[in-house]
Amino acid sequence: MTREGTEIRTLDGRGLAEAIAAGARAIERNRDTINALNVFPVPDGDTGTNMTLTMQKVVADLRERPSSQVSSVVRLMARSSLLAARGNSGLILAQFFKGLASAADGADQIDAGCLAKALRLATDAAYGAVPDPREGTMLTVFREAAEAAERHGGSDLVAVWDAACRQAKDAVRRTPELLDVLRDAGVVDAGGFGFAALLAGGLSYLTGESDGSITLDVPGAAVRPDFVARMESESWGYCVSFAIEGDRLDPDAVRSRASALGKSCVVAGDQRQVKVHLHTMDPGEPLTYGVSLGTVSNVAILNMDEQSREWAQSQRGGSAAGTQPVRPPGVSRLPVAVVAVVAGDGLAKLFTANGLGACSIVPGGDSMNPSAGDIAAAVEAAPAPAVIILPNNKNVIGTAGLVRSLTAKGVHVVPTTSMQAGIAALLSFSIDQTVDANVTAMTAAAAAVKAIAFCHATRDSRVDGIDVKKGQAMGIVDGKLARVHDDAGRLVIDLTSEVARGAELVTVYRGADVSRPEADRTAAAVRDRVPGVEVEVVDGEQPFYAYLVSVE
Amino acid sequence: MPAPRIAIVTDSTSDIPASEATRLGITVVPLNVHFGDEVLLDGVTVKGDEFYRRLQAGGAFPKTSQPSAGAFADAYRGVIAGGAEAILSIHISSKVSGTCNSANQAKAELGGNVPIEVIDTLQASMGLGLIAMEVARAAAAGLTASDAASLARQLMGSTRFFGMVETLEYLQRGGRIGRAQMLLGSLLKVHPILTMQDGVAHPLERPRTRTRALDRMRAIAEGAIPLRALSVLYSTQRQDGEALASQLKAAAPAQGITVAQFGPVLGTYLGPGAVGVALIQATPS
Repeated sequence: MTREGTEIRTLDGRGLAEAIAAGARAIERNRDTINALNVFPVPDGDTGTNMTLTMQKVVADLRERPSSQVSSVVRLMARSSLLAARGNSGLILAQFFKGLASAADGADQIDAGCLAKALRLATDAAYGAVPDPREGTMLTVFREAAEAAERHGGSDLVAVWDAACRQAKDAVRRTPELLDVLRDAGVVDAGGFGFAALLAGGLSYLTGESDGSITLDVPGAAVRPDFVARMESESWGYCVSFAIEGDRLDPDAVRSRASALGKSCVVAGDQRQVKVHLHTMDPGEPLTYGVSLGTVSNVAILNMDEQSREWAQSQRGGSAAGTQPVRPPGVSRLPVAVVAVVAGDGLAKLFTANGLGACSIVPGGDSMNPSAGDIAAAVEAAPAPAVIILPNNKNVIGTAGLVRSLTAKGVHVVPTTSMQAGIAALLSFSIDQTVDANVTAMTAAAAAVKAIAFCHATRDSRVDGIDVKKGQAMGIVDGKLARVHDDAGRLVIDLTSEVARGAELVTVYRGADVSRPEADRTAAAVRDRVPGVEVEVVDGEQPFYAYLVSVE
Repeated sequence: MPAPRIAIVTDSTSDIPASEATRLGITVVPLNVHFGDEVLLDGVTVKGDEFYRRLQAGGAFPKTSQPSAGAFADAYRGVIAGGAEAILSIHISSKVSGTCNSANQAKAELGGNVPIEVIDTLQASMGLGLIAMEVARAAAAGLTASDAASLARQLMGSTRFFGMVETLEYLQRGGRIGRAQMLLGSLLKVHPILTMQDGVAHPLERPRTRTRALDRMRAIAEGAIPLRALSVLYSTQRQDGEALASQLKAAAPAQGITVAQFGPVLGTYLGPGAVGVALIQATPS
C-alpha cells in the first residue's frame, strides 16, 4: 500500500487479494439475505450461496498462490472465478474479475484510475455475457459503480472505491424501479446486492474499519407472500452450467447458440475456455452442444423447481437447524454407521441417543436441505467403512444418493421422508447386523410408521385440493395435506386421534414453539379419545412444525 | 461295569422350577439376595411373587451375591454322600457373576476323590437351566461323566437366551448392563430385547411397544426351529409368559415348554414386566 498524506494511492497484489477476501467475507456474511432476495431470473434462493461459493474458490486460490504483483493476482482471480462460477450471479461476478485482469494487465500495483477502468471493462464484459441484458439487475449495479468511479476521477484509491460502493448500494435500492418482477415481489436485486456487499467488504478492509464481516443494510429484503405463492406454482426446469475447454473457441458464437437452447443464458470466456450457464427444460441439449466444441468440465445441473419450492418454504419462515454434526464420543471403528439429516436440537439429541453410538447428525430440514458435500463430509467422518444415510425428508433423498459418487465408503440410503420415519428406522438399526440386513430392517420400520405434521399456513393457497387461509393450522399426513382448521389445538387432537384409531403407539414430538405442558395436555386428550393407545411426548424442539406425530 | 452315577449341580440363576429340579435330580445352590442388612437365599427364603412385591414397594434396592465356596462344598458333599461318583456343576456366566469362582474354590477344597467339572455356560437364567436339564436327562439315560461334560459344552453353542425388559433401570442399577448401556438415555420409551452374547447382556432389538416386543420374541424363537429345548420366562406378568408359550406350541420340542418365573436374582436386574425365552436348537444328527 502506498500512502500520500491520508490518501491510499496504490495497492499491491497482496493488498488487493486481502481486499477481495474481505469482500468475499461480506458476501458470505450476507448469504442468507441474498438467498432470500433471489426472485429473478428464477426464485430459487441460491444467489447468495452461488456467489459465496464462487468467491470462496477465488480466495482459496489466492491463498495458495500469493503474489505481490497485481497483474498475476488479477489473472488468477479472473481464471479461478470463471472456473468456479456458480449460477448466473457467479458468472456475472466473474466478469468483474475479468475487467480487473484486463485493466491491471502488466501492472505491479493497482491505482484509482485502474479501478475505474476495471469497473468499466467489467460492465462491458457483463453486458456482453448476457444475450438479453436487463436493467435492474447486477448489470445496472456494475454500470453505475463504474460511472461513479469515472466521475470521481481522483487519485485516492479508497475514495474512488468508496464512491463506487456508495453508488452500487444506491443502484441496488433502485433496482425495483427498473425490473417489474422485483417490484412485484417487493425486493431489491439479489445479485446486485451481492456485488455491493463485495465492494463494501473490500472498502471496510481498506479503511481499516473491519475485516469485511459486515452486514449490508439495504431495505427490501423481505419477499411479499403473494409473490411467493405465485412463483412456487411456476415450472422452471433445470439450471445448467459447465465449462468448455478447447482451441479457438468463440464465446460470442457459443452465446448466440446457447441462448437459443434456454433462458437466462450467460456465456463468458476466451478462446481457450468458455463458461456456459443457462436455464432449460432439457439439460442434455446444451451439454451435447458443449461436447461438440471441446472438453466439458465443471458440470452442474440443478433442479430449479425443487429449489424454488425450498425457497418458497424458507420465505414462509422455516428456519434451519443450528446444530453441527455430532460425532459420537469414544466410538472406535464400527462395521456400519448411520448419518441422519435432522432439524431441531431435541430431534438431533434423540437421533444421537438412539444411534447406538454410531449415528452422526447433519443439520437440515425443510428449509435448509444440506448439500451432497455436507452429507459426504459426515459420511467421511463416520467411524465405519459402510454408512447408512437417513435423509428424513423427501427433498434430501436425491441428494443423499449423490453422496455415493463423493466417497469411497459404501453408502446406502434408507429413503425416509420424515423425522418420525427416521427415528423408527434408527431404532431398527443394529451394529451386529450386516449392512444389507440393516437396510432391509430399517426400510421396513420406516414404512410401518404413519407420519403426521402440524404447522401454520403463512399465506392463502390451495394445496392437495384443499383451500388454505393464512394462519390456519394444517395437518399433513404422510406428506399430503389432510385437513385445515382455524383451531390448531383441536386439529392436532382430532386428526391424531383419527389416524391413531387401532394403533398401538403415538409419539408426539413437541415443536420448539410449543410448551411441554401444552404438549402433555394434547397427549392426554388423544389418550382419552383413543382407547388402548399409548401416547408418548418427546421434546423434538423442531422448527416450523408445532407437532410432528408418529403413529405405529 | 455300570456307568458312574453323575450328579448335576447348578445355581439358582438357572431359574429351573423347583418341581423340575426335583424330578430331574438337579441340585440347586442358591445365590444370596440382600435387602439392606437382610440376607436371603434366592428361591429358598425369598421367592418369586413375594420378591417382586418387595422390589416394587420401594425401600432398599436389593443386591445379589454369589454363593460362598462353603455353600458349594456343602452341596458337593451332599451329592457325594448320596452316591454320586462324578459331579457336573453348571453355572451362570463368569462375566456377570462370581458363582463359578466359588464353585471352583469348593472343588479345590474337596480334593480329587470325586471328579468335579465346573462349566461356565456364559449364559443366564434358563439359558443355563435348559443345559442342566438336558444333561440331567442324558445322565439319567446312562451318559458317562466326560460325555456329559462334552454334551454341556456342545449345547452351550446352540443355546440362546433373550428377553424383553420394561425398563433398563434395574439392569443399570445392578451394574450388570454390559453393552446394553448403549441403549441408555434413549429419551424414548422402548422395550429393549436383550440377549446374552459372549457372556454379557447385549442389545438385540428396540421395539417401541410391549406387544411388538413380544411379537418379535416369538418370531426370533420360531426362526430358531427345530428346537431341542424351550422355556418361556416372566417376572411379574405370568399371563404374557403363558400367552407367548401357547403361541410357541407349534415350535415346541417333544418334552414341551418349561414356563418359569425369573427368580429373585434375575429379577433384581430385569425388574418387573420382563419376559424371556431360552432355547436350545436341535443340531442335525
